[in-house]
Amino acid sequence: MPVKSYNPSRPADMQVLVDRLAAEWESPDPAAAEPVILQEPNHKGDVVRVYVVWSDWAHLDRERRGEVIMDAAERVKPMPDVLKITIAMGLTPDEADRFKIRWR
Amino acid sequence: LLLQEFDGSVYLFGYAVEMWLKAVCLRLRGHGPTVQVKAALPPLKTWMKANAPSVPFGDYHDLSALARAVMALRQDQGRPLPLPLLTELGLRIAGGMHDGWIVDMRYRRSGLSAADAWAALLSAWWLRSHWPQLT
Repeated sequence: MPVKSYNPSRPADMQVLVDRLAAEWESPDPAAAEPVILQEPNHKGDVVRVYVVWSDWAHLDRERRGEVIMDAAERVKPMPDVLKITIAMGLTPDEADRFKIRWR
Repeated sequence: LLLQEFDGSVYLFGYAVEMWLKAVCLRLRGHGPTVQVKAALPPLKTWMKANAPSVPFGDYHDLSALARAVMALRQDQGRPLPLPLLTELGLRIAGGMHDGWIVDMRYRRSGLSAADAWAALLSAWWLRSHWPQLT
């Protein structure tokens, strides 16, 4: 009988989403409509807020989406820059529109 | 508590403790009162993984992890908690309420006693009285 790791607190496709977001973050595909990654700097120019608009994570709650963003950030940014991020907000297109985020 | 609903009492005291701890953590991270909490917690978890890797940050309702985040954030800011606060936070919350409270209490009864409920009240009351000093 196979022995598999089981982590009920982490949705099965989360790693796939992390992989896809990190790939897009590192090498943006100009033809892709989503995910849209918005990086907001503070007055020093450090990115402290990251918003990602993406339809594909509609099934995840906001905290899980934030974890996807942070896990992807760890792949594409040096750790000191990752630790400067204090807001990681994952939204679907509808939610982003409701929040009046200019992402289109 | 007066109606002897001890399970419900402990659940609500723990929930209040969770909110105060989150408020302290987010203030220490530089956030104001209007921050989107669910967008601020994953970066805190990442920060904890880098700065306090021995603290298991399982979920965002973990009272022990949140209390230890307060300690780690204060330490990182060069303002470690004074020993009396550190001790009380550790004993009452990280090692006290954390052991007897889980968020799933809202879904099921645990058969808690009056003593459990009063102990939870005293811990929650301590945090209610001291949370501004933790920031």
